[in-house]
Amino acid sequence: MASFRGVDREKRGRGSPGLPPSAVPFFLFGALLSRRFARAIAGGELDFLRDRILRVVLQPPGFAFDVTLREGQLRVAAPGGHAGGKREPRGQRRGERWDLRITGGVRDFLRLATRLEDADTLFFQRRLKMEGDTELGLYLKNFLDAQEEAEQALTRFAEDKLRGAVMLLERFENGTRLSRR
Amino acid sequence: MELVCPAGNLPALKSAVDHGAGAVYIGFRDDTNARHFAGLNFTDRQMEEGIRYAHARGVRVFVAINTYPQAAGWPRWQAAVERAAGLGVDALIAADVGVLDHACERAPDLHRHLSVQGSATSAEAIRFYHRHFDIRRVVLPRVLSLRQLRRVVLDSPVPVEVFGFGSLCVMVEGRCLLSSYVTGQSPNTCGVCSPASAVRWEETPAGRESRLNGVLIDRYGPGEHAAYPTLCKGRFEVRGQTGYAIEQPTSLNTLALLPELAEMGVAAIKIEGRQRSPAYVAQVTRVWRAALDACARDPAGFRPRPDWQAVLQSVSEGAQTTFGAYHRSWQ
Repeated sequence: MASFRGVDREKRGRGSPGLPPSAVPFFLFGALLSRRFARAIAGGELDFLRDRILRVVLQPPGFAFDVTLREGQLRVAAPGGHAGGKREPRGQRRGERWDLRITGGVRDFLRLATRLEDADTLFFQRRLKMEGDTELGLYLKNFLDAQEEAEQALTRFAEDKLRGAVMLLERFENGTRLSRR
Repeated sequence: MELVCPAGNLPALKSAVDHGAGAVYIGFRDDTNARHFAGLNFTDRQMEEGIRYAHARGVRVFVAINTYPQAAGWPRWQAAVERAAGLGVDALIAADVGVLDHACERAPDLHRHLSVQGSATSAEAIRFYHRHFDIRRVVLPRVLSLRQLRRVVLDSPVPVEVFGFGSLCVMVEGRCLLSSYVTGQSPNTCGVCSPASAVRWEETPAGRESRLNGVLIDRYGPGEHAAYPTLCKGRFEVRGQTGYAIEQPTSLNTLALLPELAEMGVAAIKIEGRQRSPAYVAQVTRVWRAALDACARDPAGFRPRPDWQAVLQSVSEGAQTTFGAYHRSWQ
């Protein structure tokens, strides 16, 4: 079992059947993603992720989660929380199973998610790290790039607001940087 | 000059249209084009929607069918030509004489552009394609100096399109077989230099390593810019020295040359990067639209603005941008 930031320890401690309380945010996140990409899932566009494990690592703070497509739903879990995954990478601790691992800063993931930045740009600048199955990574990147605006008005509204917030934050930061000069 | 922008998917196409492209070039989701990447490019339905979107806003759409078919795959290239014609695109970008010939026969009304992959570097070569396939435009390979370019533009029987911005490679366009050496595939026949299934990135104590089919392409130290894992941009040990043996990862940026290109009669500027995201297309198209407009207003007083250059620099492969061959004194 992987042990990441105590999530698994906590899970083990409670030992309750069904959904342990620590898994609830992951479960909700998965449900949210499934809803956002419902049409793409139905159209088979996310099949490349079926039973494959994508690990996302936010560095810092070193928080990680795993995403996979199973039974027509995107499922999110704490690292090691999904069964399967084909890859057992060299030099990893035993039980660390993922097919693709993407590591990056929170800000850069936000810029990617809100379509303000190009993944290759971040990659060239070494702000994004991709390990494992490169083809899976390319499928993921091209899938996300090809997504149009969300269909649900609420999701669209939330994504718009998030993009606005990231831009505002950056404008504010650039402003303070300029005034410091 | 027409601004010709890349799009690997529908949002990128819309981005190019919205930010001032004069034309957008795209490809089908197979090996009939030179960006055959996992999950990239257009289904027929997406292409239809993209063409509708562009045409409604006065922007043209070109389809690249610019790889070289091998005997077994020929029906796919044939079908691609017919699909493009049926979808009502504005031009076909092709390199192979078989594909061009098929297009002449089956879709005579569809304009044909000679792809950069055709590697025509002289007016004589362009005249040949013009005479036999009635091409309406030629995209020149990135190997000519400005002096040579001027001659070709002057003598060419058709309008000339040149590359203005984007990643550079070893530039043996249409004839490069380098990657076949390690992967068994080449960009000319399979549409990809480094098939993703053959690429591995690994973080090691010595740095970030890229491997192509197991062959170490490069090892990036901390803080060093990374590049696409192609054989031509790798660092190798040659006679005891490790360095770029073939080509250094760089990007072409001809913003400062715009007045000269306009003056010599170049018809269109092409932006590289169908593999990049809608964010890149938006950033780059916005800058080039502004620059082309500024250059058209006052060519003599045109200077690239520092903020334009900063944007282009930030999205570039490699730590530097260059004028490529345009400013080379040797050929």
